[in-house]
Amino acid sequence: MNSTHLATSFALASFGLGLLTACPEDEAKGADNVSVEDLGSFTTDTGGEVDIPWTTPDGVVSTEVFCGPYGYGDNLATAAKITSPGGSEIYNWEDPYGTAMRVGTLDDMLPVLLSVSPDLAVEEGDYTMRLLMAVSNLPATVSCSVVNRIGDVSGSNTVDVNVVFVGVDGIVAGMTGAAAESDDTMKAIVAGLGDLWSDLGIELGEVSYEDFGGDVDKYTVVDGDEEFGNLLREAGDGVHLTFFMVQDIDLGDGASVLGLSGGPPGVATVGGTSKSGVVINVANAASNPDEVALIMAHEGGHFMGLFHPTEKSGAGHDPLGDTPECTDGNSDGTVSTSECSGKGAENVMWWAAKTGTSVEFSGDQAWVVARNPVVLPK
Amino acid sequence: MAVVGLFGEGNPRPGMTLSLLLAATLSVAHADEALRSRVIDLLSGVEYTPTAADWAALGNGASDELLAVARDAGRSPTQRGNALVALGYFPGSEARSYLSSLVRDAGTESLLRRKACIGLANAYKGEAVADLAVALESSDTQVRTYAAKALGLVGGAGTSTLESRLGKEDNASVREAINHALGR
Repeated sequence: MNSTHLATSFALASFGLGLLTACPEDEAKGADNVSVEDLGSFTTDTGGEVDIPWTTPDGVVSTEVFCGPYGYGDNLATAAKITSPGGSEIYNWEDPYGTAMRVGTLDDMLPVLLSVSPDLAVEEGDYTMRLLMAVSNLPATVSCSVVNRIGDVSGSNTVDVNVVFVGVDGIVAGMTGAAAESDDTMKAIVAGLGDLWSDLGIELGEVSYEDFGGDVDKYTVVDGDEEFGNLLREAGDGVHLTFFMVQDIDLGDGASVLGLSGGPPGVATVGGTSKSGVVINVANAASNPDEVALIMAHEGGHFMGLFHPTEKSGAGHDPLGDTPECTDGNSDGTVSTSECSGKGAENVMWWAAKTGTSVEFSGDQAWVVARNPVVLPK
Repeated sequence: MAVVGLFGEGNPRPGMTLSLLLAATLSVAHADEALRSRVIDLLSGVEYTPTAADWAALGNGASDELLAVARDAGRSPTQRGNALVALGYFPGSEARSYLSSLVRDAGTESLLRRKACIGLANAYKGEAVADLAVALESSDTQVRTYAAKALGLVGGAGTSTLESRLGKEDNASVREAINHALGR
């Protein structure tokens, strides 16, 4: 296998440095099945396109290539197409729902994960992604890396969780690194997360708590995409999922969203990127800890490769065969929870937060998550 | 109203009249409930915030529902806050009075006060400056940040208020928000 073990000290600055060193702690927990490989720098043509080739190893169960950083504002990138080792075109952005592959159009960093559906299992061999960038200055140069996971896949798994509090003790006093473990609200949130993820065949592994070490005043209310990305850059390396708990998330229009995942999917096991974790709005935690648990389960699902069964507009669906699809029956531009009862609203990945209603995951969703590099088979 | 007319003298089938009235009442209640459910959905997007087009699709009846949600202490803070922002799409005297009272009241929960600043600025532009100037003097840095952001939304009418605050503002994040609102 032409790759190296994951290093917990890996940082964005190490892009381009090549081999990484092994981390004994992660190896002990199974991270020897996860490798990170620097693919180098790539410069687009003047149309913003460049081919990114990478090789998946023998026994691969998932592969995630990610390229960036390329900034915010109008700077966006996606995959124009992806070709499999067998030569098949498994994704084309002109028909984004045409295969069982999904790729975002994202700012600053583009992660692409295989597989996001059992209908398109990852293969061993040579892949090529035609990266398509729309940035202010072309040609543009980006760095790309790949995370490969090999080895066993289990229906019974654990995920280690790192919870980082960003100035939220004014909402729930116990939401601090020192007090969280014995705080009733946090205990209820973590228990709720565990309950919801159990449907994915996931148990919570080690749950650690810490206080944010950066500019709390700036990040406790996340304001806009760039602040969101910059907060996620504070996530460390390792086989875990980092949740940043904040007072509020505002993507620019003044209204609140309840959570956001890097990507989706997020950049697994590699910290220091704008897609390396998840941000959770805890504004409702005191009155409704179950909702915060739902949002953590939902955003963690995105991070690990899940999408909404049906998007809010009704125009897009996830690539899974066993999640129901709903249509906008009254043509008001929104698939409402009531019109989608029995057609996806019960799924944790439903687009609106419905505590007590959205409680299920499907078998295909469990299949996808079981292969993610942050998931440890038991 | 037509249903009430069925109670008129000489109606030969009062039982049916009552049934029709009940059906009509239930139909109205069902419609109200359906609208409320759609409003709550839009206020509860996990990663989605509703647009003007979303609210327009629900019609003017949505504004009453939004005001009811915003005032309902039993609703979650984010639903109430998002309702306050959405009221910015439905200018009206009752909404304005409520938004103004929240923006001016130092005792208002921080999140609601912040969202009210945005709703007020979007709906009333320059007429909101006096209210927003009060919030810009709040002891809560996040409220000051949002007051600055809201004053940025109203355009030139907010400039002198922002400049005045910038001269005495000592919090770096708020200063950044003021400068951003001033287009710097």
